[in-house]
Amino acid sequence: MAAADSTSATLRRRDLCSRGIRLAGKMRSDVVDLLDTYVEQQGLDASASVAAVEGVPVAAVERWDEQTGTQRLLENLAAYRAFRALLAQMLEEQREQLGEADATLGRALAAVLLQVSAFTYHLEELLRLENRGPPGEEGAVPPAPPPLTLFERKLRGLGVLRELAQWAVRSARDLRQLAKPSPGSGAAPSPAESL
Amino acid sequence: MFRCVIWVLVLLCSSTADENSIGDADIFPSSPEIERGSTLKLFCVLGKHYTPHRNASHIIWKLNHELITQENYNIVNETVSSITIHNFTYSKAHVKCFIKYLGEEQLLVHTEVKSGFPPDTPRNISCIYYFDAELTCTWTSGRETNFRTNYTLYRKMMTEGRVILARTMGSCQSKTESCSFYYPDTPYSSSFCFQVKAENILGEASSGCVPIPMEKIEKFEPPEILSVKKITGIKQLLTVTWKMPEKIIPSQDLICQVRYRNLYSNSSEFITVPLNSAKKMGSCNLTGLWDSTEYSVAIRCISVVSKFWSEWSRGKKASTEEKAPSERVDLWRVIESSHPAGSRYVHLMWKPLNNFPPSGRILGYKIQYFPENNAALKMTNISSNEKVILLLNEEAYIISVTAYNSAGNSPEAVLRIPSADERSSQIIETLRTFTTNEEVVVEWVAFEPEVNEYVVEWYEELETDPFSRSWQYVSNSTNWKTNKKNFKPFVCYNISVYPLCGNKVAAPYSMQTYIQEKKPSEGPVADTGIPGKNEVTIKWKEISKDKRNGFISNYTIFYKPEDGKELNKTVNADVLQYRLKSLQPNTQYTVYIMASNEAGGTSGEPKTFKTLKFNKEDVIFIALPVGLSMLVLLGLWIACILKKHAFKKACWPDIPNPAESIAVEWPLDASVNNSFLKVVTTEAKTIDFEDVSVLEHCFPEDSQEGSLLMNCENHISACTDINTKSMINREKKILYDTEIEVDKCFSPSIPYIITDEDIRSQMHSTLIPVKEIQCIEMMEDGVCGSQHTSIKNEENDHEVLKLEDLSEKALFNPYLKNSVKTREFLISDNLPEHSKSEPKSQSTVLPPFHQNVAGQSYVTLDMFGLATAH
Repeated sequence: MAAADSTSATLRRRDLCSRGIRLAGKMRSDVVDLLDTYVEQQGLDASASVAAVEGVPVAAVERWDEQTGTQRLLENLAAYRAFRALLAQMLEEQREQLGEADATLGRALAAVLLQVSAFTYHLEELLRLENRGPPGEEGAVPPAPPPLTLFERKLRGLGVLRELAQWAVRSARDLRQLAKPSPGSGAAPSPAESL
Repeated sequence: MFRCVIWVLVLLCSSTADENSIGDADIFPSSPEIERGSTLKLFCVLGKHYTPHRNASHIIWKLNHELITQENYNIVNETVSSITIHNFTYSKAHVKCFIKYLGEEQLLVHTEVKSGFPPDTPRNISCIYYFDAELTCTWTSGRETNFRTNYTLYRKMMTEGRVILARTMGSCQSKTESCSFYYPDTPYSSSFCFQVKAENILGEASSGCVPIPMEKIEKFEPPEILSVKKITGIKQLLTVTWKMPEKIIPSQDLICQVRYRNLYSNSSEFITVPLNSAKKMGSCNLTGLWDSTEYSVAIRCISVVSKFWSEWSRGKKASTEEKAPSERVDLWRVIESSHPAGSRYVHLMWKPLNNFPPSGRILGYKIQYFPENNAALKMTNISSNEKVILLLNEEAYIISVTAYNSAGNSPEAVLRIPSADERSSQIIETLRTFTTNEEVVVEWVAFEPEVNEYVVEWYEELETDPFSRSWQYVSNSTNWKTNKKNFKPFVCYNISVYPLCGNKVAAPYSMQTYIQEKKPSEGPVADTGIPGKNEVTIKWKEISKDKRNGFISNYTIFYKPEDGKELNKTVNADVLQYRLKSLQPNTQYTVYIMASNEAGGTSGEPKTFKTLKFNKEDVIFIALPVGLSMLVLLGLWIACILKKHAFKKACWPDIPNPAESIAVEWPLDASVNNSFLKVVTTEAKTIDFEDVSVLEHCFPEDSQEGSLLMNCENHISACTDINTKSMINREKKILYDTEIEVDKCFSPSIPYIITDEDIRSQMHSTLIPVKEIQCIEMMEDGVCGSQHTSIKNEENDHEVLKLEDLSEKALFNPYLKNSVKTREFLISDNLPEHSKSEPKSQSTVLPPFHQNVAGQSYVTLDMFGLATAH
């Protein structure tokens, strides 16, 4: 019975991971498209370098392959909760800035926001499968940003989207790692499986 | 101004009045909507206008037009009446409140009541996700509620298989059984479930939240085909390259399906190509295709986890490589009869290659021909058509035709054209055709069973264009079947079967046939000719070929006498005339001809004729006895005329009168001056003046001498005739002409008497002396002498004899005077002397005189005067 449950849980995890990979891919695709739109609409240079933005989680991590599955999920969840708040803030700022005049950017931001939310829910589901309920969101809410100029807000938004795209890649790799037979193992993914 | 005021008042009144209120009353609840089968309760409130004379007891209720019974009424108070209707089942009805007072009903107010059902639970929820564009869900709502129902589609997140109500990701409203979310409200999640809530005035119902992972319902945009190409040097292959849609989940496994169809086929073939969306492009090779065939290619893709294919991409066409035609053309010929110069036209025709799959696009045909015994004289023609006409001489020729395309030539199709005087043997013994329900079958029997290839040729009988002929090769069989649709019904076809011995075509066996017959389009026209008494010959012509519609099997002649029974005769088709016998004489008949074939007969226009009353035999039988009788009577009459004197002598013989005998008063002068001549002269004066005139009139001066001799002869002959009393017309005419001549040549007139022959014989001896005297006198006149000589020269002795008779007639027996007509001529004073001394009387013959005969000479008064003046 326990073995059956274990098998079922394994299959369930694989299924969820597979779907999560798909969601991550969709999200990355959306974010890449949004970046192009954002740079164009905000009048920014696509090659402009943006310094690390406070409150924006960084995808790069040392010893990634040594992380456990739960750890990966928790980091992902924290990141996407942060991105959800940042994107909501960007959407609000964008509406304040451009009103309804530029619907394209607003719609794309809203789509990515929803996609991030959906992926967040998906990560929570995976955490539940790991017998680890999702942590409360209180700690995930980023601190209120200091007053910024319009250009600074634009650059900040650019930094948020670039990092989100990086996180989409990392999330896919994390989920692919989780889908392997030994959940939580730190085996590195094969090159073919990388995005 | 006044009008405006009136209109304002009317508008105010209408706006203040309740739309259901007609009088000063109200009904409530207004326009109620209740559940079907429930109880309806309405109240009608009278206004102050009706009190105190009328109250709620005067209120009556009607449902549509039917009065509701009083037991359902309830008087609430003096001005309010209620009605209760149990088990209200009308979907829509009008309830009306009336007041009945003094026998009159007055509508106070009415309202519409609708009944229906609360919504059922929506079921069968299904969704489709048009990637990054639209998420549409549909469901079924159950039974009709009869009320407006609103639907709300909820998109919720599920956690651990349970719906987290707090995490509704969105909703949409609809009044139909479908609702859509549109981008950007189309997040992609595998944890969504969809729930539908239906609600109307009577209640609401919600479905369960149905988990529908987005990845299972995603539908891509179709891919785009970049190219469909053939690879040079590789046959039967096409390479297809396409681009994946822009909006697609990255790095997911997909399946693309390539559909290709050649233009000769109605069915398509499919191949499936697995690929990953990480690759933006896809390609595959289509192998095993037909040569030189155009293919239409389309592609669609699907996620490996989705159930919705994308739409098919726009199709693209390309052709495979060609190869040389592998089959020879289907060649046939029609040889025209030789011209006098020995040349003849040969119509060559062939069918396009129908090998399947086709080899490629035929660019043209090469026709080569040469005399059979001299291949060095090979001629080559190139044609893009599938027919050609060659003018060949009388020699036998070998003709070959090849089709070519860009890849090469087909094998040669060869036929031998026999020499003009060549006669091939008859190989086919019999041939027959028949039809089944769907097919035409041609069967034949050959003398030589080793012949195993034949050509069946068929064409319409009236078709003259050789290229319009159809043909088909038949191998290893002595029958041929084809669909009836290849033949026109009611048309005569010539069908021929040609045996083939290698490339030599032997003598054909031909026959005519109709695949289907119908009765002739028109009937023959009867020609009755000239009818007889009891028979008539009816003739008709064949119907033109285009109107026969079948083989004419026979003709039927229908004929009917007036007011009689119709009869008919049937004859074979090769008979074009028929003699109807045993007809009633002198009867009008109507006749018409019916031409018949297997399918029926058609009659021509009727003609009428009338038989004769008598035929030729009848006429002969009647006319012959009558004519003979007439001839007999005529003969008798002529005989009577001719033998009158004989009869008279026999019956009433003349008895001489001794008292008038001249035997004692001789010589001639005495007889001349005797009473007999006087009597004659006297009679001539009174009767025959006109004869003188006739004589003068008939001879012009210039011809007088030339005709004198003949006239004298005629005169003599006439005299003879007079003696015989013969009244022949020609002689009469001559007598007319000769009288004046005699008058001249014997002038002065010599009295002479012409007696009957028998009398002459009696008196011959007596008259001789007179004759001599007369001749002496006549010799005094030269004319008379020449006449006399001329008479002697006549070959006819009979004429001579007549002259002698004439001389004899110069003397006559006075006893015979009553049997001779005499005439006394008046002699002119200017006549010669000797003539003047002659007696002025002449005995002559009276020409027959017919009154009122055209052209007959007559005596005018002037002439009479001239004659008598001397």
